[in-house]
Amino acid sequence: MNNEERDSQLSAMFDDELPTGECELLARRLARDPVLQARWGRYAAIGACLKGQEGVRLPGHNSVADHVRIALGGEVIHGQPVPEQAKAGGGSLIPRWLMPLGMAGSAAAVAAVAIVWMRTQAPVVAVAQSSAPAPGRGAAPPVQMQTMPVAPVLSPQISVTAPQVLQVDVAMQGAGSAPGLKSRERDSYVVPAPSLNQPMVLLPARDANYQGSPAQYPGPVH
Amino acid sequence: MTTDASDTSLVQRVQRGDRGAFDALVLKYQHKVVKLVLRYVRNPAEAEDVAQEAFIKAYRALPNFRGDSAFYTWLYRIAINTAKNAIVARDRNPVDFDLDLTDPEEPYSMHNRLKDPDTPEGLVLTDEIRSTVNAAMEALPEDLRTAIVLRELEGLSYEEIAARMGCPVGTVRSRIFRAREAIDGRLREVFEGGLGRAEELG
Repeated sequence: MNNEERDSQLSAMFDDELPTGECELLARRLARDPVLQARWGRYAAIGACLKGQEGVRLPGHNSVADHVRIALGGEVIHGQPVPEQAKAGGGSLIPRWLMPLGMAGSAAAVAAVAIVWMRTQAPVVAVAQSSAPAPGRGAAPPVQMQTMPVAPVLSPQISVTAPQVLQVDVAMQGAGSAPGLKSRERDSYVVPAPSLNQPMVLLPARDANYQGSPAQYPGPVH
Repeated sequence: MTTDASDTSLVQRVQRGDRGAFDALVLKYQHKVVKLVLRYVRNPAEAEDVAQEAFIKAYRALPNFRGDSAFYTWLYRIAINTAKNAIVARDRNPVDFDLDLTDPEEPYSMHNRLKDPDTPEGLVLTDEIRSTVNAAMEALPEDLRTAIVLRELEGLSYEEIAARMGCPVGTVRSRIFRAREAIDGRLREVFEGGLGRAEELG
């Protein structure tokens, strides 16, 4: 874009006659380019003069804008940006196409938490493959399950309430010490990284091919 | 065309922490706000002070601006309230013109209140700008002059101007731009590199 085209856009933007997309691009440039700002300020001064206003100033010539700039110094504010189409009945900061992903992410997080809770309630003990004690020995130290951090939130505008790390500590009792439990096979637990399309499910590795509903998962078959 | 799209774009940038975008908003509306405030305070220098204060308040309140109304409508309310408060404050604390203006403890606004734009330099500068703009307007071709007058004085949209002048909207945009460029060129000639002839006169 040459300067003349850019200045023509600036003139149209000054009159609120530039399409929104072009406005956003030009606003970015206008905010950073002092030459463009000076031109913008002169356009305002020209309009004020034509309207017969008193006390018209040019940018850089002791204008109100100069005083405001000095008074504010480097003060920077941050706020929630105005929605794009606020005036046209409200819009959303989250692109429409991203909303299902956000909902899927939330659902996956809830499912994962529910399954972890189920597993800790069920009379099943998880044993990590690498630290399985020899049968018949006394009480073993607590075993920490394999954990995997949950993938970060996909977009800063999507709020997923899942914890950052799913971590389940299961205090393993010695063989034979847990009533009703005869044998313990090694179970490693897989926490698949959440996919955009699949809910996150916590399954034992050997049952990773389980096809049913996560809520109805009966636990590992022994 | 989205109404207020340019202001919305700039406001969004300010809310993301871009100070330069606020400078652009002040540049655009400073004259309008001063004119508005002059209805209340009736003193150009005080009006500039109040306008400045209104812009500072607006800047600090912008994180809470949700875009339910146009930016200028929101700014308008702030300016009116600031002007009313200034009147109340002035009535409570009349200005003592014997104050020592070199006292650094005095508020910044007090210094400003007693200077521009009523000083001879300020008045000459304003006259210089106005005469430059008027001369440039006189020199414009008829179609450019008509287009910018319909825009600036009548406040018509490009579409309305196009209907009035019997030409496409793109032509209107081009004519208004060329009119502004011609006037701006004259302003830059006169004021480039300082205060121009007004400064030489001082």
